[in-house]
Amino acid sequence: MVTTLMRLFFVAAILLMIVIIAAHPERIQIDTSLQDLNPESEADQGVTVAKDTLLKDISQRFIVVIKAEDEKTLAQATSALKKDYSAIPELSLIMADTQAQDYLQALAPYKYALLTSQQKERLLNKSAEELARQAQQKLYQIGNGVRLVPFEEDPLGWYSDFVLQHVQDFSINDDSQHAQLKFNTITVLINTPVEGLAAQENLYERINEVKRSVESAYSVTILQSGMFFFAVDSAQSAKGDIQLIAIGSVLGILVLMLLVFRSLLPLTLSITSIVIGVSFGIFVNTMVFGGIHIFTIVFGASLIGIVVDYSLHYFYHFLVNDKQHLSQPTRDKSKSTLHRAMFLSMLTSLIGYGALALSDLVLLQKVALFSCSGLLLAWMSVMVLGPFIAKRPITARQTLLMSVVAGVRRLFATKQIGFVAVGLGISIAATVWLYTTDVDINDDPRRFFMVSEQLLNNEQEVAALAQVYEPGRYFIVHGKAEADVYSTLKRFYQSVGESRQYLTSVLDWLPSSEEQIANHKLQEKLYQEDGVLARFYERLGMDPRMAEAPRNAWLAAREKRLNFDNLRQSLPALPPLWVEYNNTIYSFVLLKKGSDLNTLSQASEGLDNIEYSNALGSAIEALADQREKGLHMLLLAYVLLAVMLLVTYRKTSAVALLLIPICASALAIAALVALQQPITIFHIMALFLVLGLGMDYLIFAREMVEKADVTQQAILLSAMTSLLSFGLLAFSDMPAISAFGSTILIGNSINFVAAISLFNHTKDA
Amino acid sequence: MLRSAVLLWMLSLPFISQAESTQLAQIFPTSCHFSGTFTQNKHIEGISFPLQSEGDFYFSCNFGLVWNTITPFPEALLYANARMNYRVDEQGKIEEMPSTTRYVMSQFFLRLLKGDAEYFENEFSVSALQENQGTLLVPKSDFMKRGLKHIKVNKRLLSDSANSVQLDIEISDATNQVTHIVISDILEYEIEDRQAAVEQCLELYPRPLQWCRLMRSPGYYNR
Repeated sequence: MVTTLMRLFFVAAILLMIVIIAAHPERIQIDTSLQDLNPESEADQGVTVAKDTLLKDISQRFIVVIKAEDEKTLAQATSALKKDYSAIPELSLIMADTQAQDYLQALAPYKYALLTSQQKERLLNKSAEELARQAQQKLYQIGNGVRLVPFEEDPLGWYSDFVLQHVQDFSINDDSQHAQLKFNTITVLINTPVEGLAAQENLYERINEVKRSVESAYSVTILQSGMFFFAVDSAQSAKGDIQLIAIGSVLGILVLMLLVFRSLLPLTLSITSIVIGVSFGIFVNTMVFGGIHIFTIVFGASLIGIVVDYSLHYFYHFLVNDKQHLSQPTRDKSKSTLHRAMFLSMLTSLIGYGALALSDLVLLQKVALFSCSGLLLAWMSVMVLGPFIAKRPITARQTLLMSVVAGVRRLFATKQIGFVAVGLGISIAATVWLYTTDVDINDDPRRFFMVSEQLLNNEQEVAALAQVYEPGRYFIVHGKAEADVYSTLKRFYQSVGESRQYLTSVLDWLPSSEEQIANHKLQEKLYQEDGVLARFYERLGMDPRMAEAPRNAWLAAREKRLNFDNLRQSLPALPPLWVEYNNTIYSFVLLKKGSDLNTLSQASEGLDNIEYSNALGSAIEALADQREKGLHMLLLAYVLLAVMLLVTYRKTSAVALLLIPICASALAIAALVALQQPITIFHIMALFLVLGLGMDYLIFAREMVEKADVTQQAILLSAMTSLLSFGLLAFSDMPAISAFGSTILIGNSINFVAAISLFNHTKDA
Repeated sequence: MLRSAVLLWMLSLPFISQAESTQLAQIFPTSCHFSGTFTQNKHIEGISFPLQSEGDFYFSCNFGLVWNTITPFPEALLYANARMNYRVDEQGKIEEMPSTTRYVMSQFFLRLLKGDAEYFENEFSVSALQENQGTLLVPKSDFMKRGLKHIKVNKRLLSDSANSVQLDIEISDATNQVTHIVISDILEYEIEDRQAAVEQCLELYPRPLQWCRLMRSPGYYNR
């Protein structure tokens, strides 16, 4: 009954997977977002939405700096770069020197609603005659004579002054450098999110091709900086790891299976179970998370080494029966023991991998789902398809494996008590040493990746030259009404004093609606009959009736208001500083490079409705928390397995089996600390696998103890495949992946030695 | 034929560069420390008559520029360095100069008085105007072209005095505004250090005292 149900489920799952993938192959997307490594979670959904909006915007823009020896070459190279970038349909360009012009054009229809604070003060405190005189005087000034707007459109020059005061964030501040350093800056927007690794790599290649061709044609240096490059760079690095692990594991398994079984049949089942397991893992991940993360594949590639264990144990079991010509009842009993061992083995692996899902780290949740679903279906494939393969006689070359097993046993199992005592002694010493020593811990997510030196250098150089904001550090102001948000922003600006020059928020770009209404009313003094403008024309000796047209335009603009969304449509370079969600407004205050973050953060502390967000700091804290929680969860997993062992074997001595993965874990971590590897959440999460895999071997060794010799060969083969997979992970360039692989490599080697040495001819350990 | 043309063109390259330097040398002041008077005529599109102003100035490479407009509106611009610039109104009230004014002054006007040949060679196409009418400077970069069309500079020897020169500067901006500045009555000084430059300033502008003090210690205003 159970077997029939399992077969039905297996067939249904395979069919469902094939049908959905055939109908929607585009849904299988490889995701490369780095956000999955950030466990930060917000209690306020609105804050999460706002932060995601900002993050999405940041990830879809990059900055390009073109450096040249002289101005002429710079102009030519910039022009060529602009032309070539424009030919890439996914990109739009924003030149630093056009932003002021764009801003000017966006604000022009609303100019009667705009005033600087000095202009307001003057309107309130000066007479119309005085203001007219000042406007006339300004016409004579040498520098102020450079107008952004022609005289006829802005005779008093007030709108021009408003824009000039607000364009400090653009290029004007940097122009003294501009002349000497000979560089141009282009902000490039990626129009729509580029889904999938292949599409990202394709775009990355085209962008780099443009860079290379312009660099070589004009002898200029082009620096590119942005999250997009980091994502693609780490994805490419991960892709190399996937290839290494997948090819290495599959080749290793092929060679092992062919060497041992000298038949394609067992190999076929092994490969089938791997393909089914990995495909189902990808399918389930895609269905649940909308794609498969590249790191999930890297971690998941190591699944190959575990999946193949089921078919190995299965064949070895039938190998034994085939050779020993057992009676039917004995065969049935033996088959039942095999099924029980395989079920327990699968269960312990599921507990090991499943525990990763308890982490708040989305990446580990994805790895857990991928591995558990993959393992389950791979196990089912062996249980369902195995009997068809086992109908034929299976032979194996056992001599070499036996000699290896014998060698290990000679080394460790001749004096079991001594081996146990020494093992326990070293483990206790390692644990004490870990507790007493100052272990180097790393919770900084930046150190989980292997980022190319060139990319880091580019990033630093661009940050020094162009106007960039502190990545992941900003303030969030929230409020129910626009006026509340503006009021908080103003109080914050006042409290930071001179440091306000390091801030960018809506306050720097646009007055609130209320203020725009008030500004329009204040400008009555300028445009009314016999107002400032009429007097100004009169003073110049011009016809005061010329003021009538601007007066009518001012009257017609009474209801005109500009909001931030509309401004941003005209000025795409602006980050999404204003996000509305669920009747609440979230507004960002971004920090320019070089800001005194501590002072600014302290200035916000006494104010309501404003919070300092340090994404990196929060991520470090959250990862540290996850690491500690991980240890607690590991303890829980040991308790659960102890209960399972007690229920299954009904002997308290069975719980002692857990001592083996405990010792293996302690020794693995101690060894890595001794090798000066900083301990991360990935080491802790790997310990779940040390437990799961260790229990896997131990259960087989204990369950099949009556055929210890053959079982140990199966364990040896199984350990070799697992160690091959995790060993390859250990040599990854990515510190996170390497940490995971090296912990399992050492821990599982100890598990293997213990399983071979301690379960020899006795029923109980 | 073609080969000869290429060769000639290649040979002409250094001469073009040298010609630019020579052309620039003709318009630059001969001293780094001098004072004088100015007349400014500004033609603004939309105003049918020129806006004329007059005043005097003092410039020293070691010190900065005092640009003192006397008529029709008294006003002084104190240009201490690239970052510290102030405007003094007719009531004597001092305020920091807006960044645009600072930009125009630092990018072009001060460099001209200073004789910064390298800057002009890099940023402008330099050519001679016809009939000895001076030098034409056209910005090379798109960025500068957005604000500035061209500058014409002509240094003339005045006939009434053997060594007296007059500098005519014409600035055309992107809004078709033309500013014509005539600098004359130039007096050159032998100044060795910053202290001497301050003393010369105090001699020329003894009142109000703040002007030269502010130029000497720009932090003074901020205090």
